[in-house]
Amino acid sequence: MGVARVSSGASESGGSRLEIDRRDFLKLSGVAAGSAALLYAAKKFGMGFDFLSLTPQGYDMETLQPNWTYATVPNICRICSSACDILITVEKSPDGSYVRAIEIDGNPLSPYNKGKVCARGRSGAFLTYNKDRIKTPLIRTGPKGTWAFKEATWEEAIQYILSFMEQNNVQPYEIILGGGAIPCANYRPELIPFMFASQIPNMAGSPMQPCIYGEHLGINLTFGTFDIHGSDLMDDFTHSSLIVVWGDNGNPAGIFVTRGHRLGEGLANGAFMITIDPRQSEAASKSDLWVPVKPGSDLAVAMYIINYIISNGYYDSDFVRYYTDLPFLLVDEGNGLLKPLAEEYPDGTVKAFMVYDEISGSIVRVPPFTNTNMYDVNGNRIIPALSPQGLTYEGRPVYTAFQKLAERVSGFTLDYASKVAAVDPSLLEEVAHRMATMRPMDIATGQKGQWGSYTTQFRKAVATIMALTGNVDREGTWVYSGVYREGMEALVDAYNSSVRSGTSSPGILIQRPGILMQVPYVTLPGLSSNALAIIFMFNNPKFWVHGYPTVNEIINQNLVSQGKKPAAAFTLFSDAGVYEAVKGQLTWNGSTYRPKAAFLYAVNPAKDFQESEWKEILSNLFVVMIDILPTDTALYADVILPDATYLETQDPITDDSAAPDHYFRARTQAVPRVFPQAIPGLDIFLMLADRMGFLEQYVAQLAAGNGLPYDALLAAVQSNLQKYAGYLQQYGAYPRTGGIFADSFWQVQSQLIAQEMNTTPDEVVSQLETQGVIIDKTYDQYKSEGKLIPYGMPAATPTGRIEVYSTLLYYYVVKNYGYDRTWDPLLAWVPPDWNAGYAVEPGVYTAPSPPYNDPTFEPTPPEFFIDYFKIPPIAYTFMADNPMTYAITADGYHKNIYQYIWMNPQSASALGLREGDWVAVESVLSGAKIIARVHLTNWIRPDTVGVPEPWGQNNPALTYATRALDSFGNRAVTTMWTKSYDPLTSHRMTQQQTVKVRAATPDEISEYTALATATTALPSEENIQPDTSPTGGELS
Amino acid sequence: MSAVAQQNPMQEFGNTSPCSKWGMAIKIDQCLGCMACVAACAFENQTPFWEELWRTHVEDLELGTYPNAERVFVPRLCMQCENPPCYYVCPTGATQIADGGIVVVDEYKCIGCQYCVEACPYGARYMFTYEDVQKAREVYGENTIHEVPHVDKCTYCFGTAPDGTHTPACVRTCVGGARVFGCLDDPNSEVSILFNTGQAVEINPELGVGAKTRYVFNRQLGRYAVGGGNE
Repeated sequence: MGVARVSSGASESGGSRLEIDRRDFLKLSGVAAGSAALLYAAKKFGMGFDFLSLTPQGYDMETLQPNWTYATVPNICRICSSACDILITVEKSPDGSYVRAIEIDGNPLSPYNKGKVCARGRSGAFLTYNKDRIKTPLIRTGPKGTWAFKEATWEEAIQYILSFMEQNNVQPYEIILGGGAIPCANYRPELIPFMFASQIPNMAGSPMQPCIYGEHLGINLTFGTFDIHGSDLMDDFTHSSLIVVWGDNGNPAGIFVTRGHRLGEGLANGAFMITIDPRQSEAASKSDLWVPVKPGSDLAVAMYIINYIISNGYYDSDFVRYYTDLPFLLVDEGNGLLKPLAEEYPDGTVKAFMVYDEISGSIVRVPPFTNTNMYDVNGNRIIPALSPQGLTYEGRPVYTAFQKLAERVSGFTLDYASKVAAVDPSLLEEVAHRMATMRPMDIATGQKGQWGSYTTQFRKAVATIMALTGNVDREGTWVYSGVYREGMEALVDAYNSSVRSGTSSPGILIQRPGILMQVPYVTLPGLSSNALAIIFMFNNPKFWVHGYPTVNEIINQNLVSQGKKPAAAFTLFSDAGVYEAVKGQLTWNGSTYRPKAAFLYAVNPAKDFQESEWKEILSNLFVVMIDILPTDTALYADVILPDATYLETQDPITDDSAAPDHYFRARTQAVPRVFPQAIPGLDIFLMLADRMGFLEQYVAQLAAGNGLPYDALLAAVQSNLQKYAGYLQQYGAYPRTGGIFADSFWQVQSQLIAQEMNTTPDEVVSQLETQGVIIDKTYDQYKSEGKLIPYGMPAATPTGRIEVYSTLLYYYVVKNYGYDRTWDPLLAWVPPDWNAGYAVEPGVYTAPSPPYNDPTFEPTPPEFFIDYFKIPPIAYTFMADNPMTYAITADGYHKNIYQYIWMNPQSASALGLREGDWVAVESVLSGAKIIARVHLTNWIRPDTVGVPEPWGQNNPALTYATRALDSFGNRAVTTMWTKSYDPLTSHRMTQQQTVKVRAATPDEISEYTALATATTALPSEENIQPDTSPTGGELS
Repeated sequence: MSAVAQQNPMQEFGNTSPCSKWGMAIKIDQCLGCMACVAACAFENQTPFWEELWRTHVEDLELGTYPNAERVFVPRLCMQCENPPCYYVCPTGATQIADGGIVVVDEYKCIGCQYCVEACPYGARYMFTYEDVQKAREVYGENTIHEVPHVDKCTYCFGTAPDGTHTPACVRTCVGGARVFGCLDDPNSEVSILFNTGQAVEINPELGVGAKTRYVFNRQLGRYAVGGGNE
């Protein structure tokens, strides 16, 4: 190749030490410059060749691996729900016969993850080259629970599926779809349209129930968001004066790179950091203050802090009065229910809310949907009062939401909160003072904290603290994403034009579905998309041709008809009801409702959902699994269809991300598919749609949901379907590059983006293929255009304001199910109710018996609270089978920290336990048990045990993950998930139980470290080598 | 959309100019313990992680007793000494100080005597065996960096960094921004400032190795920092 132009330049700089240039170095070492055998060969990367067209391009580089060439291909990581922008380095051999992905870096041009990527992302190529990968379609030959499969062709596998569907007359509502973090973070734009087209109303989505609804809902209801982590909100730690990581480590340090990077910057900029967590997590280790509160006490602490803020006058009164709904007048109905004082239309929908105006000294009406309370419905400037005294309306006393909030928290004194939290009062007071006064502040939004019935009220309280202190959409606080603003703009346009044209009267968004449906549904921002989906689509039997709503709503109605509370009042894509339905316990329209089949895409319910329930569910359904690795769920699959990895896949262009800037990015294929029987998952769905006869409906929904031109999309899809499916028919393998979705979407999307960005489609494609990102608009530009929320634009809450009082909870949940403190629209104290409350039986509140009815209760060994946690090298159970990430967790520096259960040495000594002993952890509520080794550490409260999340694999097909059997055994922590559901979100109230811990018996140890049986060849034993050739199997 | 220079985005990682004396400062306060550097290095340099051998690893240290317990992450790697003990004991001259002041091992001269492994007071070296060479082909693919058995160590990714940059993989990927890499000849580089103001200190300075990998302890371990604040 060329002369070394970029070297470490010693020959140019002179100096006293022995300076050698590279050629001299080669001579000294006695190795010919042409040898490929030099250590530390300077592999100079460049755009050595345009990978897919194999045309070398003009970077002038030397390689000391002579004639090996290198390409840098932008892609999007697909290991966790962060979806960071990455660059994949691909090498090609001198004779051109061999290509391999050899490195993954973050893309430094990305405004999202800014060139950083975590241990998982760095190890991503090991997913592609993992010998455990599923390489061909597989059909079950032996009993469920064992590895027993035969290889099949795609046609055989599809025929097998279609035959089952036909012979059993499977209806769409009898199918449960499943999707994990990967489909949730990457493929909502393609899979939600699939649900509408196929008329399948059920989706068990592993992130939705525990994370989005079980954790984020409180914040979502307040801020109008939905997917805080990946789409709607960014923690701008970089500019924070105060960073608070509360009840969860996953967001900034467990790790999500987009947050972790900003956390590092914030620390470098001198931010003060507080972590409130019973465990010394990674985030706690960086903090100035570690506040080890007792599990279950977070709500009490939060209410104390709100009390502190209000009673000391630390709230930002202008922000509160103008941009939140705290000045709204409420009527106190007694027994907890606060009802908005609202003017209504004859149809009962809201026409206006009311506030007390300090200028006119009277009660005035304010618009139902707007960003600010500065003007009444007639456009007059007003000053809404926060604490008016002795107000009445039509003879009844009325109060502002602010006054009622103050009343609700007034009993949460420092004394009480510190007793409940079991921490030093002076520490708590310092925390309260800092949170009340240090601005800007960012409280990490939480990803896996304390799951109990109090979780939604707790996260509402956190959002309330942010709102009271005005920490909204400013640098250093929660900043809305660029794509959220774009969606909000479209929604506001739709609202304004509907009202102006008279097709709609002003109202709150959840009562104006006609307005919501004017925006392509995939692009609706935040909470508005979820509200539309849940209220008008998934929970609405009339939306579906067959009249069956989602199974979540079926169980709701079954429970309500028995006089009970629901199991999923406001949630989406939950598994609530699936188990009950499979057991024949649910009816709909007079007949038993029982699903027959499950289609699972990149989801692992046998480990990532309630483990024992799902093993039973999967044993009783016909299960089609689309995935890359033989996860434990594979032990229950009837048919397995191999998906391609992200390095081998080109996906539709997207602008979805939580970055404050609005930008386009794409996953560009880096290497030809190494197992040509593996097909990109989206194409599998498309081919299934075609074979099942609803292709055109699917394309129509893709077009409608994403705002794409139907005719152009249909033409592209039909043409590419013919090519790719035709190739598959003819050769029994898929073309190794491209795909139906890839080719069709890039064609159509590049046109649209070109128009929007005022350039050509070729430019768009070229930029995405070489730089990976196209920046449309920055946060600063939005700011200068007056598009910060809610200062210049509403949030996607029903009223457009920051809703400390959730109108959605009132007008949908309370209206349908009556009042319950779990879904109090304002803020209600929900006690910890250990081993009781809604954690016992769906829809039924069980009063706790002593001592569990006392929030200040602290267990003593052998009884403990249970906390469970993510670890940074592994995201979700499938990454446990990556040889490199597994090795990091298993080596001597980390094994006991990452693979064992944590226990305080004081408590261990009281139980006679030593480091590494096998222990049994048994739920006091249900008797569910895990067996694992114990790690003695001062990083956790004496009354709490900590359980790491990623382990429990027992499928012998997982060569690496099953090595952890010697540390953690074969049950995942999800075995401890309660079988009951939170009545609002349906999440499992895992931390609402206590556990008993003791030494495990030898019998327990051998039972819980056993592998599942394999009676046929495992994927790692198959003699199918990865195809590392650069060409072959393409379409001509 | 403005015209964008179609350069390789990897260039943005910086350190594109040559330098005769590279250095690294690790800001302990910003290490989040994410282990990204461990994976990045292993992949870039094709090291035998199956043997629990790493060119860089991160210690996860527990100090104190609950509730006054601390947790400190300390990334460890070669100190790139100015007076490297490993260099002086190498009988064949395989260990050399190469461009940029980086201590490297010529794998063809190394006879695997491991005197250097013994001599390094920081435990930065290990033996890359014949079996590892075979296994590396299976794990990392045909184009392996390590062709013969030899002693292996961190080389600040000497010569393996992407075109136009000398930024090591661990630095490129460090999520918390703890690892700072740059040219010690440039008095304005962040690493020079940290070294020259005494904020970045050597571990075990009494050994006199002249480490060019130094550590900034600020809030953690109660160490003092020049120019910084201490809460």
